[in-house]
Amino acid sequence: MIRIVPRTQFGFWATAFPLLLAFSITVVVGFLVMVAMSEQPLSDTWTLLTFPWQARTASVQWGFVLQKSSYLAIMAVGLSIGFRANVWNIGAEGQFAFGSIAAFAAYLLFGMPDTTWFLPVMLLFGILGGIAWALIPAALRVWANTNELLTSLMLVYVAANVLNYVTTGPWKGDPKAGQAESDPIHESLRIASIIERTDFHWGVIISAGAILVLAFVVLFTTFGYSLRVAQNTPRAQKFAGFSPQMTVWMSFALSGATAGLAGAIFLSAETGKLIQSENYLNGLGFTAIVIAFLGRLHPIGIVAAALLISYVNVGATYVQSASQVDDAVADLVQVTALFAVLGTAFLSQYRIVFGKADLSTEGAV
Amino acid sequence: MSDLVIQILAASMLLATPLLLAAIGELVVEKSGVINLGVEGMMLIGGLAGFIGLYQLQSSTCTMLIGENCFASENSVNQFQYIGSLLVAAIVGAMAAALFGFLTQYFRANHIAAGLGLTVLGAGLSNSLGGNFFGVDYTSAIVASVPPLFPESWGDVPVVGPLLFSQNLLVPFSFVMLAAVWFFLNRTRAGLVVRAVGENHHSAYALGYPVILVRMLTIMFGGAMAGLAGAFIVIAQIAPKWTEGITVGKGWLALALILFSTWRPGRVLLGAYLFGIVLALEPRLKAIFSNMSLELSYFLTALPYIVPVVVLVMISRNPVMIRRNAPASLGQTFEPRS
Amino acid sequence: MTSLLSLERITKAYPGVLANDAVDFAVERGEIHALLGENGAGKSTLMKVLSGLTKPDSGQIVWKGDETTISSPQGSKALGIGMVHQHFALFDGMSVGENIALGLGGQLDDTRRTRIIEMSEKYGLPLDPDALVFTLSAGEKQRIEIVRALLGEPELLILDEPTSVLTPQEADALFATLRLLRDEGRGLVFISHKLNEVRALCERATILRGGKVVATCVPAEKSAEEIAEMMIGTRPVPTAKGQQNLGDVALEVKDLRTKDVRVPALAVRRGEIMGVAGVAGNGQEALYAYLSGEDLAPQANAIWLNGVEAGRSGPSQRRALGGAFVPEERLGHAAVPDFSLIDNTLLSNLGTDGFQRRGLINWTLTREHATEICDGYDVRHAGVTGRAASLSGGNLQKFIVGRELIKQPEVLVVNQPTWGVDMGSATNIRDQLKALAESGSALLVISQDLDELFDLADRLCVLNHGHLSEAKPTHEWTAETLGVAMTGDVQEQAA
Repeated sequence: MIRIVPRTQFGFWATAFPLLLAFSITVVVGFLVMVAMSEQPLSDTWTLLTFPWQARTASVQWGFVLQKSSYLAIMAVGLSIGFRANVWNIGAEGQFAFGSIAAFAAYLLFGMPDTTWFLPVMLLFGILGGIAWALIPAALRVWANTNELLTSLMLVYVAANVLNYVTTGPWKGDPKAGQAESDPIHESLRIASIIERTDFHWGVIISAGAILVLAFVVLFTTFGYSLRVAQNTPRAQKFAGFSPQMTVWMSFALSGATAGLAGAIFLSAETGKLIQSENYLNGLGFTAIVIAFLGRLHPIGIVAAALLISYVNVGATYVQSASQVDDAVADLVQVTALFAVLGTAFLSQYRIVFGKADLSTEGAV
Repeated sequence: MSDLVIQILAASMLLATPLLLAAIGELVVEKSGVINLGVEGMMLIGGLAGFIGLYQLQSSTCTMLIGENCFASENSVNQFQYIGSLLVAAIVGAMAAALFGFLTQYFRANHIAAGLGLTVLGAGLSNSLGGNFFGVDYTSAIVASVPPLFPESWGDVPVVGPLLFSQNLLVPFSFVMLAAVWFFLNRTRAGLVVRAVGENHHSAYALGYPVILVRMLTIMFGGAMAGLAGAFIVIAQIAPKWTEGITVGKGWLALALILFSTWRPGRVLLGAYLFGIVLALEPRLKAIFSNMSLELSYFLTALPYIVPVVVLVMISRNPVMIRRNAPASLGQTFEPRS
Repeated sequence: MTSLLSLERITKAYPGVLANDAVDFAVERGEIHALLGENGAGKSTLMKVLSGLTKPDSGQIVWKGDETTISSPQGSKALGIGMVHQHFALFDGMSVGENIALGLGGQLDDTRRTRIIEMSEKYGLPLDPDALVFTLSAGEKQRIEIVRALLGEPELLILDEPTSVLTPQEADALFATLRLLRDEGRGLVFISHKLNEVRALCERATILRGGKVVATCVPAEKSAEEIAEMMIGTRPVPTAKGQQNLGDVALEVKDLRTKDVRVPALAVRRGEIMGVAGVAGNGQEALYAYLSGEDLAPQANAIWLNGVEAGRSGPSQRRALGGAFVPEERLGHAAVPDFSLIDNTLLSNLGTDGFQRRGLINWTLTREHATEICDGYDVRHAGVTGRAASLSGGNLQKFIVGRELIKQPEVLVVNQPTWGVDMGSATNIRDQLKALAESGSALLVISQDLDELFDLADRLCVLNHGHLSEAKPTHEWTAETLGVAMTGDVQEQAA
């Protein structure tokens, strides 16, 4: 008989075992998905796993991976701050959009400067835009006791409409473009690649720096400690003298800031202009939520998860172009990984014991 | 003008029905203390499954009658085939929900994360299968429209015609389900148990009620209802047609409805039709006031998402009402205390 | 004649603990049988065996002469065993009637409703089937549990610590009900810590210690001291009151009026222990919250700490003024269950010197401090990195109280210092509290345990419906006057 009993001691294995198990499950199920979706599963899987070396230039593929994972990781680290404290901002997609909009607004506001020195100002405005949009659900939660999960989500759709409005209305650019879009920003404000002709640009470095700062805050400061206290025990939070309202404000502000930063970097590095929402917002803000949980809300885990998932994602796109396997395979692998991590997480609090006895291990109390 | 009113009402019934179906399911789920944010994903999977089911049922009958040279566009769908496809949608929706159930109930995963994962899964799975499911590309598959319940000529009867007789089977079904769920929760023994499990799972467990089993069942019921809601959008709302991400956030609106209703079935109905009217008004107002400003036009497009926020704010100001009706152990993972 | 129930050589082992070691226990028809023992003596395990929540490793359950097995709570109920748990298995958002119906596995219909009313009248347990449970007092909630158990027509009724939440008057009414049930020929098992109640009520008593039966006796023939000695092995030493070296007022409340509590005046001097008596649910939580700063008073000048206005200050600011606080709930309020003892040490020490500097936490110091608390206050643990939830109730309480005591706070507010704690730990904690007062600190102890208050407090006041009475020296109160003050009309008292 199999029993589940609470752990009393937490060593290395308490963390490592569930993750290894989740990883194994993902590999097995991921391969099965490949078998179902591909005509030559073995060779396609091999391509998926080794695509940077299959492609003409490995550095280009690695650039894709780094670029994508930097957006996911920075947003996921921001979101994890709130998730640690049971503050559910799932509207990062909207805050991302507002980061882009605010960065572009700054560009227009300061008279379309043509100098790289303006770039930090744009990024700063992106951060502020993300914060501003994120503080709406925070304010509603603190002042009107409104469920922040649903309001932050609804505001994603509102933000998408704002983006559509500015690209079709006041900031409309080339009317002959096949989509609603703004005029491009000056070339000097485009974030430069570090390695020629790859997507490995300075935005990745900026995100990495921001992640380091946030990781330090979460892991070593009293603010990080207060988030851990808030996680499941709001009353202990009051006992310790932390303000639950402040937790909500700070969680939303930080996650809004990271999403806004990601949005501003995206504008500068990827598109160089605002585009109507269908072609601009590609679900990074939602994937970041999955990444946050995949990384078990820990900065190191999040960075690892972002890299892995981006690798699979870029690989799936590569496989799709090489051998007609739908790139939804990446989504499915991603969900498998998420479910495997969620489904095994309890093993870090509990042990599986084989043998006969009943559920309780506490003595007679 | 009265024509327009009736037109809007009929359209809002069409738009409200999937919200109502999904919200009824989620209401029971939440009453048992579980919050499943995967409604959108279950609707997508269920919707695609229903569409595939209808396509297969139709083409197999067609092939049987006419032989190989059977063009889908020339087919018709009868009520039984429609019901068959709805059953497929409900079963597949329930299966997707069961996955969430296993994760949250047996593996004690966080409800929020697992629900969001289910939404991602629904989107990913329906996108990949919709493009290619055993060699058929369902994004371009054509299926005949579902016949109305009543003879078509009845639809011309003023007022009641478009409102009652032109409606799809699932419209009256949604009302019946609403009444059934109300009766179940408030008047039956099993409903009392569901509420008890949602109110205090430890007490329910101590009294010998199978908390995890009850929750698995409600979760699967919620999945089946979400599957039906998805199938309604895909098959019945306009014409049978599958596109990626076809539900565009309706699952999230259904979740907002539950909060709006403070977990009361009557208010779920009210909310669903309020949202339905807002959704129905938008294109019509734009058509009538074709020279309206761009700002107003985008505001109207965003209105269905702004209204829930405003309503939520108004409702949440009354914590006593929420305290009385909200399941107290909502979203908490159940671990049997020894 | 065979016994109604007899347990023979029941043995149940958990990893590391032998919870029941060949326990023999028999209940006759028409008797109230006391089951006595400290926390951890094996009572709960025995009850779990009887209610079908756990299976014994060996031993027999004999019901009316036939050997049987109990594999589930339903099986236990079907056999004819009814349970009234110490922690109510109630649904707060639902009505009394629905709660009772749930206990019987059915919907609330008119026949049920009539039977509930009949039953409650017959046994003196007045209840309104339509009242919502969260509006009721603890005593009323317990009546629901009892009626629920009785509607199952049990031949054996087990009550776990039934009087811990009752006023003396409510307890007397309960005893009348229990005697009525006994006279009908049912068997009753009465689990309690309160030896005087057991001596007054029970025909027989079985005493457990360390998982073994140490004695079976007629409690009326023994003194409370003799029974206590059998329970804990050594005679509890009555602690003498320290000398009254009172200093100036360190904690003062002036006209605190909120929706939950009304405190016209309260002043606690250095060197003094002020007791707050009252039945559970009369505003203890709220009073604690206002005193600790978890809820803010309407005016800053309503609460004074060490001569400083503190009504609008949060917990951290009040700690900086020399305050320390121990809430009632150990897990989830005073400690985070999933945190290690090190993490939990920090919880009330964020403002203490050295634990953090500009937002950075000094984990080395925190770890040393956690070890110091455990060593200094006899906290038995499996390592300071272990989860708080893995400690027994008594040890965790010693840790939580120790965490505050080690600071030598000038003002200490404690809510239910020994609630649900075994006798050894409780004695230890009370001694520590007295020592702190003697060293010149002002203590305010909120408790439902009158024996505890009589033992600890120099002065006592009473919380009744949120109204805090004037404080009087403890020796001027009697059980009767206290009982009246705890249950009487508040208006009258105020006048």
